[in-house]
Amino acid sequence: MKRKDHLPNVKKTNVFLSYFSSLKLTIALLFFIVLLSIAGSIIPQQEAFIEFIRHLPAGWAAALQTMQFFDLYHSIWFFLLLGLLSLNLVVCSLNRFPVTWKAYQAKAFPEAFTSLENLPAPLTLMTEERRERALQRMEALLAREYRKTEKRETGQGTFLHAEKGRFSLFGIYIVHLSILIIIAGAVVGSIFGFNSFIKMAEGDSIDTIHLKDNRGEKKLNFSIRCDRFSVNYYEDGLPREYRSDLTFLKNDHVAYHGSLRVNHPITFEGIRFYQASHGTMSGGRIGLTIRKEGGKEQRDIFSLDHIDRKYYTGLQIAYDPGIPIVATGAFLLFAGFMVVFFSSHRQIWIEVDTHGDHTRIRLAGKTSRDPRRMQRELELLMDLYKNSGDGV
Amino acid sequence: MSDTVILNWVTYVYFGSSILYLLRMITGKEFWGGIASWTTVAGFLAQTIALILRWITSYKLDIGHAPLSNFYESLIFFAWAIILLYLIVEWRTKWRSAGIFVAPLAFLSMAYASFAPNVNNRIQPLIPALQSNWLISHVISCFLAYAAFAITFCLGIMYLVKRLDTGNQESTRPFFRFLPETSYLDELIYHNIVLGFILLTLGIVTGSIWAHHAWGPYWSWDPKETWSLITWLIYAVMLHSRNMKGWQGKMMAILAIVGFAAVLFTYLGVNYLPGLHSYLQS
Repeated sequence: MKRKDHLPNVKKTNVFLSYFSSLKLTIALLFFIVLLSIAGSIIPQQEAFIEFIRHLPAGWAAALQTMQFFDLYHSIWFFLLLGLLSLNLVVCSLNRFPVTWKAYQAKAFPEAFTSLENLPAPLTLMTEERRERALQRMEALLAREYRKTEKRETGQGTFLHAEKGRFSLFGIYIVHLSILIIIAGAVVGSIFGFNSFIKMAEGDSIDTIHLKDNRGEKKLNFSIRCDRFSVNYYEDGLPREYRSDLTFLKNDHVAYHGSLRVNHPITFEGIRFYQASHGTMSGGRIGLTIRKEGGKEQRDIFSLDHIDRKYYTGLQIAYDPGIPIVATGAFLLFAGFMVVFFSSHRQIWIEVDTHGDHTRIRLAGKTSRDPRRMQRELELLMDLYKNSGDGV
Repeated sequence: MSDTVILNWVTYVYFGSSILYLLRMITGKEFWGGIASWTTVAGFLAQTIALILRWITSYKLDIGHAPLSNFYESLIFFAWAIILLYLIVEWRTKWRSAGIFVAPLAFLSMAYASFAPNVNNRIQPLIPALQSNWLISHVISCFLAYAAFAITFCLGIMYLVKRLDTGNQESTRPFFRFLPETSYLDELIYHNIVLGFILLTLGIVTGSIWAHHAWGPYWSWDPKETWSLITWLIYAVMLHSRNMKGWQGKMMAILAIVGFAAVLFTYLGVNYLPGLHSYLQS
């Protein structure tokens, strides 16, 4: 009991660190995010849940609602999981970074380096060339194939070193950073951005919008007028185009006039407008012709000339300052993938010494990942050496 | 000849190559393997021609668009992508044994497209939401990702089947003898997961950009979006557990199968959940 009290503080932070930097936690968090996402895709969310609740006993419905089961992706649970995942990523990266930094700074030949012994099994070539000649040729070859090469003479023999892709050690940090940037962008968007949906009949003007998620009303410093809405159809009856002709007015002056179509949003003062839906409303007109038809009993004949439907257009209005951040994150994510998956840090050590009456050349390699590629590279280097003959 | 007629025939061709790959594994004669490979190549070429023909026809109908716009076309493209990736793997590794798992998968996708009563094979015009330049890049990257995961799934099954036989040093049954060593399978599984993962990421990102242009929010928790994220997370876990914990072999093979189940749900299962991506809506 007493001994526990005397544990130094350092120990405690280590427990915290090791817990929050463990891959176990990452996998557990991802597991719960997956579980919650599955639930959210099956349980009706937001507007749809009102219909769903009716089929449940009253107590259940209330309980599930307090637990935020009907808005899972915006619930405290989801934010908690995302928060923990971000923390996990940060702690993990900070924890590992010194090791990576050390590896990045590592010398080609540490003080203790005297042989290839601690490396994976080397490729060996016995040649009748003189040692000096072989060394010279190998040095020239390395200088041609690699940008950074080093040489060391020890009592045991002569060693050469060459490497590629040291930067790839940082790839995983780029990927993790980009995930954090994307999450940050999403948070910025949900705090400082807004969404709204408005219905406008032809001729209507609007300058105040209802924000989604019960965030009240917002007065815009301009107004939007819907001049006309039209639908075009293909021959087989499928819709070809929905179009709203909109006028943006600022201080009663026309600031912009344009057609809004699906996939062609209009941006005005940083706020984006989307063609989202449409429908008909009362107030349309039908054109009829009335004729009297003669005979014994006079009849009135109505014939339909045209129908002028009165349309309303549904606009999605969105403002999201997080988008450039998310886009930066996504771009960085691919940059990180390129580094992580398509490059690796590959180092080669070569020993040239005299072995009996032969010169012995040995090639050994070490890689941060992808040992098969390393092996191929060593074999290629050996082939290049053999085939270069006296030309080099 | 119309594109759908060719595509119906391609369905039979892939059925034929499934049988031929199986014949090779049972008889142990490489002769059948050669025929199987060339049959598959022939089917693939015919399918490619049919896809181009369909594209051209759509322009003649004055509704020109790439054949990637409805459920029928997606099933056809899925099969095409599976065979494309498989032929690359076969050509690079010189193994034919994956064919007995991959060819039936392509056949099933083609058969569903060609013969299921609720799948409409007409060339339809693009509704406003689909009229976007992002359609092609989004659909191609997603379906190439699905195909890479389909191949991974087949390799996972092969891994588990091969393990059944690891006790026997000199397996007498050609079926097992033809299966590659588990260590090679394991590495190929990893490479396919990496390929699929990058393509799926690309598919999600292009989809988000498209959503941002068409609907506003780049992410709206539509079931398809949600399930693509779930799939992405499953493969992310696989990559982490392999690179950090050195999980290999059996565990990866099982996860490859679980991952593909998530892929199938993302592709087909979500149609039964309400959302924006539903193929069954119209």
